[in-house]
Amino acid sequence: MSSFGKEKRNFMTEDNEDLDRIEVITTSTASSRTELFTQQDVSQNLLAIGNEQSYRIYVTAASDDNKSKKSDCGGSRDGTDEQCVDESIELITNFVALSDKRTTSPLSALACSFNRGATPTNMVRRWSQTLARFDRDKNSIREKTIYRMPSRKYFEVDGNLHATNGLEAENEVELLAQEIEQHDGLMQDTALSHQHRLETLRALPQPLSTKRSLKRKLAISIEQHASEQHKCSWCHNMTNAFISFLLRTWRVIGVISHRVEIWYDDLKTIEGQFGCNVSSYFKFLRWLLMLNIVMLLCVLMFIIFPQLLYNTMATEVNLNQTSLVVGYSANRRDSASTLFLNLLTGEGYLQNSLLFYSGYSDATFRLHPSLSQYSLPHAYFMTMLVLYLLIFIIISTKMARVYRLSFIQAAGNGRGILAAKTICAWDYGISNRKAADLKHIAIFSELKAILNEKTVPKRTLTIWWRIWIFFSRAIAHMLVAAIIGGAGVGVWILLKELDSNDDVSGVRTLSTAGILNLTMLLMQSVLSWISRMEDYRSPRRTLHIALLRNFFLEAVIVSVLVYFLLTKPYSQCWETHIGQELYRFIVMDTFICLLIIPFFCVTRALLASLYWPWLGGPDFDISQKSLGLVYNQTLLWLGLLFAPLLVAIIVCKMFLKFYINKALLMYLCKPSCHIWRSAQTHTLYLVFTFVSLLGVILTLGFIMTQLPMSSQCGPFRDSGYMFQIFIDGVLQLRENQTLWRLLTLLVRPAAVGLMLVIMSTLVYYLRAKSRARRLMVKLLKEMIYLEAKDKEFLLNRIMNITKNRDSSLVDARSIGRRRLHTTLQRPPVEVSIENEISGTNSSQPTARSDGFILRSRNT
Amino acid sequence: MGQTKSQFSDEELQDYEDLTFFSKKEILLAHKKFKSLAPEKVGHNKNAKLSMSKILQYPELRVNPFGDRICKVFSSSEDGDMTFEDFLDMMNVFSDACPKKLKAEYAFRIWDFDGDDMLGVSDLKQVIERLCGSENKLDDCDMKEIIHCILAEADFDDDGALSFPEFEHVTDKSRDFLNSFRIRL
Repeated sequence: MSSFGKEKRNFMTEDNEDLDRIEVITTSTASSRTELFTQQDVSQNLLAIGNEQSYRIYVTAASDDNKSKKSDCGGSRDGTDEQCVDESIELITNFVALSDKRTTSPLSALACSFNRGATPTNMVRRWSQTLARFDRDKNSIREKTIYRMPSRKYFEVDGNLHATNGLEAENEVELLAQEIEQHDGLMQDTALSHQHRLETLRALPQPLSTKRSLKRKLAISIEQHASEQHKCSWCHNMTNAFISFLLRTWRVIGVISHRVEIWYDDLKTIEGQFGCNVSSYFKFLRWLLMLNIVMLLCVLMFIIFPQLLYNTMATEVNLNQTSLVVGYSANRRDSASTLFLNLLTGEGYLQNSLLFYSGYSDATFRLHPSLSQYSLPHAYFMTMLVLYLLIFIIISTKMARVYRLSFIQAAGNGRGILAAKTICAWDYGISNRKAADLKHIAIFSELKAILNEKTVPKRTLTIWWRIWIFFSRAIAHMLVAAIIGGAGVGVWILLKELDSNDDVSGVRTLSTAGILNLTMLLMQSVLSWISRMEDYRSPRRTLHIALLRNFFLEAVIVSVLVYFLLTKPYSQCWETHIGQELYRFIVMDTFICLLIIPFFCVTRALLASLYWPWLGGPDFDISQKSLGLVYNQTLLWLGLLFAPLLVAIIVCKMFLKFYINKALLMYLCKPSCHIWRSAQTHTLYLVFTFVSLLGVILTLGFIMTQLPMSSQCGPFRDSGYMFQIFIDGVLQLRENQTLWRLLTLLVRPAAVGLMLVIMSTLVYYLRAKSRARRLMVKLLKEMIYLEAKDKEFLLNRIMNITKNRDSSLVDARSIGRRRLHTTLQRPPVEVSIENEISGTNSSQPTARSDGFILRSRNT
Repeated sequence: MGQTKSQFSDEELQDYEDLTFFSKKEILLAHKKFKSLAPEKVGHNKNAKLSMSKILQYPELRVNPFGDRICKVFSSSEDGDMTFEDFLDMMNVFSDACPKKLKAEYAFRIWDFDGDDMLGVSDLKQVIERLCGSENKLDDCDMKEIIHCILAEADFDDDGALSFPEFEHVTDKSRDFLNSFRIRL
């Protein structure tokens, strides 16, 4: 921005160069994107000056290494010097005349009069602009190829040229090929380079035919290139082959994962009818289901299958040690109703089955004498550990990514609400006429609402009104806190009460789970109702607050339950008891989700259609249902350690849930007529999932390290604590080993403190960095604003000049012509047009032009 | 499927796979969908050019207020008629894997009704009219207000129109652009 406030528009006449060449050179070495885009704009504006003439203008933009490249194509080169100067001056006159015609405002005049070069060429220009900043850093090669490419711009203002004909397309391909060929990273004969090349081509905003011929062209030139070099060593070939193998594998994995994608058509139908918000719930469901299926496969492979093998072996050898066999034979006489009840409660014959912890043995066996041993407890522990770690990693990375996309990258856009809403208003996935009509209405009413908010002056809140709002919200928050706390206490009392009863019949045990689940359901509606009463301005805020409260409620109830279960005195096999309790919870939740709620929905829809139309159809409450999924998942993770087959139940449940919910949605629910945005809420669900997983992992960590395992049953009956099997068996650590000493050192307070300090320093550093960035963004925005001001100033100046241009410009012309004649005999002389114009205008240097020098070169 | 496959040579399919974000299977699926718009015509010639009215039979485009613009933007002959390659181009841009920048580029072109490479007042007016549908009419005053607001929010350099960088800035910052500007194959 060196040229702020200075006069930079010179018409220079020089020898030895074509006169009909007008160059716009950006003088600044802007590297930031925002700066760049202003420059681009301004250059566009300046270029468009030549619009009425059939000129071609060559743009040279300095990329950040200050290397200005030129691109040209022939204009009317046969003209004499004189003509050209004439034309240049005419051009300015013309522009001035144009802006003079529209007297409204110089800016709108500019906007209206410029018929900027339209689509294809401009798109190339934009694309190539990003190509310019490509350097040879191999790591960032891909990033740069696609998003930050160079800025050799090719720009024509001549309207006739926009029509595409064969020659034109050929030309374009030629240019694009040249563009790409400048980058060594893209032009090597390696697999990686090939991949980058394809990615570059894919990101090219060009029709397929152009891309194809471009690909051909590049292939030919690469072949030539390669044959010239001839220095491929075997090492080079090996790496090449390896990389191409990796790439191919990656591709195959992509294809397979795409094939595995279930419910593609269902989701498409839902999206077509209800838009992407509703389908985001189903996608969340599908994602969790996929996660659970992976868990199920692992559990089946490493825990259940070996255990089954062992059981069959054990029965064959008539070793009736396994409790499983005993369990079956003992309960054979039970009636059908007891069997069914047992199925619900997890008692009876299920208690010692593979469903729960006590069904697993602590044996180590080998299938065949030649095979190595398989230790069941180790398998159990390691599978669980790896599964929990895997899920933790998957969920945290996914959450981080979504969070980055929807909160951080989108941050700092406080003012762009309406623009963003308009741009993203239409959901392109909608394929149903009725949904489309509803969408139209929704957009219309949303726009109206925003307008009302803007035009109606804000409710002038009196101090009393504000105090009222403050107090009502404070009261609401306290009320909610009290409700949640009360729920926790109530649950505790209830659990105690139910537990003190010695009657352990099936119905009794089932009632705990039933009551808790129903309480949660009712409480959730109460909480949602309270937050609706609170009168928050934006519906999104209402939703978020309601969600947060519901999540707290759930967390409190679940943690009270877990605390109760862990502190309860057990006679034997407390692990199985915990597993059974969670099993009952999940079964009851399944009943509520799959039977009771659909039943209510159907009844309501029937009543509404038959008797009371005012009741309206049920609405599809995405937030509540998503939270239900999170709850479900929390229970599963809690129970998985002591009831490995729970995951199978959950998988079945989710399958059914998908179809039931889809049926409810398609037949009973109407598309919602208000727009609400899914992206942010979706992130919130992921955050909830993550928080619950974190809580579960901490709890399980506590269980593994602090609670002694029961000595009568289960795979860990011999090891005092669960983690010891890992320490002793897997790592084979002994007291005096280095690794063991290192571990004990690491968990010492000093070491932990040190780690905490390092982490806080890191956080502080990153925070400082992000603050600095934010400041920079602010600064850049101000700069853009200043640039705009400068432009306005320039335009105003031009307007001023035009007021008395009649005589002056004619003068200027004749002077220019005269000078030219003289320059032909003289060395290059700089003729400043401002001087000539201001000769009559007597104003100071007309204007600066945003860091651009507009020059006419006289060759 | 077998019959559809026979319409393309391996080389063609490879080309399509290399130059789009689709896998071979998806390309064949796209062709199936294209064929379902005009079974006989495409059956004879896989690259047959379908008229805009035929293309607008595609479910998502039929109800899309910008359907005709989309056809025009992606049509290689620029009159809205599309060959299979144009259709594939379109689905490519609307696919999930397509980067935001490319999507923004085409969204910009779709909205640029007068083709001046700027979203001026008249473009925005048309966009809003189409978004609201034919039944819901905003009055002039409201329309002016909305356009004014949009420009005040997004028009950084204050020239009374949105240039591409300004447009891209909005799409970059918007959480829902990727979600909404998408048609599943």
